Amino acid sequence: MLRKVNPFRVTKAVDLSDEEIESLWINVGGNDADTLFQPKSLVPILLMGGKGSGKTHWMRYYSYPLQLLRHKSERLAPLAGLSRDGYIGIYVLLGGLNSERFRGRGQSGEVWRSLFEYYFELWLAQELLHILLNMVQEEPSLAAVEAGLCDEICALFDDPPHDIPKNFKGLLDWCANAQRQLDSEVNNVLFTKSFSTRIRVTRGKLIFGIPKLLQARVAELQRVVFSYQLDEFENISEQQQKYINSLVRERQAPSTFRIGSRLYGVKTYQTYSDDEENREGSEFDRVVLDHRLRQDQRQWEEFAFRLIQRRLEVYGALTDAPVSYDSVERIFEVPDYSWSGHELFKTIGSPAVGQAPHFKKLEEKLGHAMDGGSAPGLLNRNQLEEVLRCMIVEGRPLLEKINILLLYQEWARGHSLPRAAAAIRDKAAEFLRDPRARTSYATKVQHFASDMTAQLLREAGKRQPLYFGIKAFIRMSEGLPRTLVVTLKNIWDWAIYKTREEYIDKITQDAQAQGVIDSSEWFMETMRKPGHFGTAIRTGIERFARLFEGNRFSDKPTECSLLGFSVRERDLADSTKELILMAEQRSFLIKISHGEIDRNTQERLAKFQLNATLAPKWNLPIARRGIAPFSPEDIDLIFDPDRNEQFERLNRSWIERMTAPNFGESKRLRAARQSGPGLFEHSK
Amino acid sequence: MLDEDSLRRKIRRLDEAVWERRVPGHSLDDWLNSFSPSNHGIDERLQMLYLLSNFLYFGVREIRHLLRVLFGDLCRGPILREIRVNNHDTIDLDLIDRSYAVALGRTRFLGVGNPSESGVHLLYYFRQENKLAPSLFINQIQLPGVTVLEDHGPKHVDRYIFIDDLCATGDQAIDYSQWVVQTIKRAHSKALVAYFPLFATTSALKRVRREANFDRVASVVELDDTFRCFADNSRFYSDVDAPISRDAARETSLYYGSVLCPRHPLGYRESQLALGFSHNTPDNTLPIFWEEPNDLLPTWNPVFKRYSKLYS
Amino acid sequence: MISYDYFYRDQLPLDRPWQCNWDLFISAWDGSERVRQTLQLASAPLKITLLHQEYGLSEASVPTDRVFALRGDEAEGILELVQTLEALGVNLATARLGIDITGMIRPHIALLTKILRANGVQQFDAIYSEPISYAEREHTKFTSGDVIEVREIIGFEGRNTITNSREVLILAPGFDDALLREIVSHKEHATKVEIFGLPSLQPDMYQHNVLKALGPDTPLPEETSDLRYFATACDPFAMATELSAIIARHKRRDPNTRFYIAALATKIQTLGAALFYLTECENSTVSLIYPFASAHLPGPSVGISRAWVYRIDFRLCDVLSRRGSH
Repeated sequence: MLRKVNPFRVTKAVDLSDEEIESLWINVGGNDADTLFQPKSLVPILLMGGKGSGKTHWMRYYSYPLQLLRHKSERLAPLAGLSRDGYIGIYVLLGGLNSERFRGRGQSGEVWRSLFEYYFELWLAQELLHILLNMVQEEPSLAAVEAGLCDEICALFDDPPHDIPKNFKGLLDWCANAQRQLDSEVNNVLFTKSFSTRIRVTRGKLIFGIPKLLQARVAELQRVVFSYQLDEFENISEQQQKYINSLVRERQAPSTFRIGSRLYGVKTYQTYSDDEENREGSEFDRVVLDHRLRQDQRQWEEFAFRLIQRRLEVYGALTDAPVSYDSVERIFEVPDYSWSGHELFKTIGSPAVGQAPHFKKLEEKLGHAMDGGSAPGLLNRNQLEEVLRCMIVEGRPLLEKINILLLYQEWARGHSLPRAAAAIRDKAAEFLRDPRARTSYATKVQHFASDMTAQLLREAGKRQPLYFGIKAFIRMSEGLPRTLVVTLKNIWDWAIYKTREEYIDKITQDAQAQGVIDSSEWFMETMRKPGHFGTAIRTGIERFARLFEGNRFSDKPTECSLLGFSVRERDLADSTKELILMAEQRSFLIKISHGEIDRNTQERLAKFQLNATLAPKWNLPIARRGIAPFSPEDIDLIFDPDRNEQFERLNRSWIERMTAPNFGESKRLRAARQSGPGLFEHSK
Repeated sequence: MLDEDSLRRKIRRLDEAVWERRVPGHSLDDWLNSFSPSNHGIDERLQMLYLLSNFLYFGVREIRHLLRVLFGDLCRGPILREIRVNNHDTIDLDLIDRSYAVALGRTRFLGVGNPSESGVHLLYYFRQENKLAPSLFINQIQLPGVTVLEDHGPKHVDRYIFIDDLCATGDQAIDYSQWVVQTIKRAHSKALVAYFPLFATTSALKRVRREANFDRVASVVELDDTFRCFADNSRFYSDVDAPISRDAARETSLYYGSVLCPRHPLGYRESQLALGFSHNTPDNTLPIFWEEPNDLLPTWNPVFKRYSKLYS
Repeated sequence: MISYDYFYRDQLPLDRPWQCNWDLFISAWDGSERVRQTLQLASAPLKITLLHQEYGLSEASVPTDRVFALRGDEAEGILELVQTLEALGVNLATARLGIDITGMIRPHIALLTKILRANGVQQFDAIYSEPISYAEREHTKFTSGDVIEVREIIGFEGRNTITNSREVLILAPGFDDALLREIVSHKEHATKVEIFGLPSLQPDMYQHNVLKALGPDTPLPEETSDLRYFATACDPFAMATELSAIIARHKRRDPNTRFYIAALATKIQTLGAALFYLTECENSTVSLIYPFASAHLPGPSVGISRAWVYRIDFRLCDVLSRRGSH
């Protein structure tokens, strides 16, 4: 049973204290985290992650405050701990520099550049000195060399500070003061019109110099890597990024960098070193967190489960401990909508035989088509009734829908309906006798179960989407931990809101349904980019969603479980390519690699899938199966908000292709195809 | 997006963010179940859901803040202004503060009505929030003209400020003023007697200003006519499409209101408000929101009870 | 903390011209009816109307003769304006100034206040008018630009310290939730504190405002009793007082806290935030930040319902500042 407390309330890593991060930290599949982050490696890493990918979690986990926490719990002194770890993480939030100030205000670009470099130098030096200051109180070996070290650090300056105490505090205060003065000058230059700051150290001297000195003078730090962890790379300007890229390129052991950035955050790879560019695999390695978890479904599931488990334990949400996978699964009420169960039948109102809405609909369509001469082989009312009878599978509405689907497929091919219906009835009976045999019917059931179930529920006036159970939520989060946490938070909120009693027995279908819709809407809003691009991306995504929805609820879906599209990327308009890239960076679209070769052109097609988090808004499937091909022209159209009418036409013809009786073809063409009963029939 | 689902979701967010969780899901369901989904073609539940989504609620923290604004804007502010103006727009803070302290010492605060009423109940929080001395708060029997004692008479007091929570029709304020203002002015002709309800309707304020004898009448939050749920210019129905309908909602409210509260089926004197506070739901609010079950409607469940058990 | 309720503020009548004796009246054109009416109600021998390029309105559409087109960022624009005023013979230190901030873009409201003071102005009247209704109620959008750059407003920057463990973002959210998300996203690592306009300009706006600002990242009442604050929406001095109180409180807990104030609600509140900064925050760890957009939707409002005048008195600010530092 669940207590009425929401263990997913805190959704961002930033809201967690160090202790909480430590206790909630989940290793990605065992100790894979170290393999990924490589804290002891001198090779710089660009760590990229979309919002909610866990990037901050990672960076903070590997930074000094958390190292310290771990050392304490293992009763290791700081230096011993660092020696054991093999690295020291110096976390820097680039946004804290508020470096957008370093421009304009009547000063030249060159002035700003050198000021920023100086500012940055002082900033990183302070971070490191701050750590040393904390350590020196507990480490006599460090205290012993403190004075000497400070002398040597001063010697790194072109214009050293004088008259300061020869200890870390003195140096730190001096640097802090220098930086504060610089702040003051920058903020007032609009009025003062000039700077009086002297730049007293060449760039890189402190950043690389201090670690070198520490390595030489402190035994425990001899084999320790000094990793500057610069987070929020997206928050500095292109020029400033260029500078940091230069530092990366020119780094000196034992220093290295881990740079954290949003997916769209890197503005340039250029450097000031002869304008060379840093290249992946050469100057740095890149890790894209989103992809990592998304690519390996099993690994993501395992990670996700442990994340949930940890949260439930830490916040004491479950009354029975410990928390196992089973107990987590049991929390959620999951209906059994399989073809063999009875729940689906009950949910749609246990209709009388042959009286369900899907029969009424079919009857109407057949009737109209017969009158209009577009129902192949159907000549009279008796035959119509017989066709309907063939579709019946008592108490098994899902199979009835499959039968009808097969019938529509035959209809689209122009085959005789009475004949097709009889064949379908036989296939269904065969399936019922041995459901496990590998027949084409069984495959159809497997592929189209989701779509047909969705149709059944909608036809019965049930408005809820089809996502229940922990597996579904994990799948829908598409490898983004925050999406999962937000989804669960929303679901829990609804469960608490709806429960009268003191404890929650199970999280109901309703709470789950409302929760995922909330997440869907949240995702759409949070990930959005403002302005015209944002509007274009949103329009494109919504249009795709409508097309996919149309497919799912049509007579004869083009693809089963359609959630994605493919296109010859090369032929797209540049603006469309840009929009698609932006949509990817904002996690609306997910690029599925391993594109298939187009049969005609032998070209590779790019395949994209809509982020499953969005699925609930349009009642789309979340299992990745179907991909529908689109022409580049159609994709250009879909992403153009101004071409509304054209899109509506596209949508209409899209739906028509999947709708009986004409399936998008003109009457004449249909008639030609049906001219001879049996002419185009496939033999069984 | 005005269908049942999206309205329920909006209400849930309101419940969490503004309504202090006064309307949890099961409570909402209980209330809605009292209505019919199809009564002469009206989906009562949908209409009521929409109406509820417009309910204006002020919780404890909001009320406390508004009490600070009442004091700041209506009591302290005018005094400071007067001091500055009378001293050539002085910016001598010490002078201002000294004069203010004197003026404040010569002010008294009272509630309207008898001690058990909700307006009086607010006085405690008003005093707390504004860190005022208890000696500035008196009862009616201590007023000049009622008592012979001089502590709160012309020698020591210039201003008498009456505080209330809601002035929706003006009835109570006008009644009250007939007696109290006369009494004070007879014994203290130069006294300033003010009436400051926290909330008021525009029409009530006009009435009180016209018919009562207070020297000053002002409120912190003013609700104009558009806040009457079913007024012609009701802001809740000014730009909505079918099936949401003002007339349908009115019919439903009247139908059940007549059973629950026959004398005032659409709120006291047909105020038609959808307004509630953490400490109470005024009877000017539609009874369908707050009335308790009776013999005719034994399964009725209010959403914003009139005297909340939690905040007594 | 400092209480700013010593300043004068008044409601102006809408049925007759204002007798305010200004030498210079500055307004900013945004195409709305209320700015137009204010221009008519105000009288001054010299009236200048600013034109923000973000509105995309033509000079020809401005209903007065003297138009000043603001160019560049807020600093370039305002500095150029001041130069122009001086060239026109205006003595800022002595002139009686009336400034309608209704159509002005927020960073300019703030910086203009600072630069006027730096140029010897002792006091000026700030005017603000409210519409009869907002066309789309809680769905009103104010910006349409593609590029949103969140940064400190020039002239309102702060000092940074490396102990950034305590960053506090004080937000006064408006109805444009896209802007709100940009700000929150930019300062993702900060503790969020919200100030809502209460009493709001219209009684139901408060509720809508809170609902709009709600998201899974927004702190909710019970778990964040010290994270939701209120300040009267149409009173800049109330905003200044509230900011003063909030910051004093957080500083007591940790004097190294870095504060970011994003006043996205009423322009009146932005004026209040600027006033607070100028009085208490020069050279401190407080900055005003704003999501700068390349385009703004011009005046999304109908009619005029009320007009306010606020006497911004810098001498009073000085006196308060001196007292506050004791």
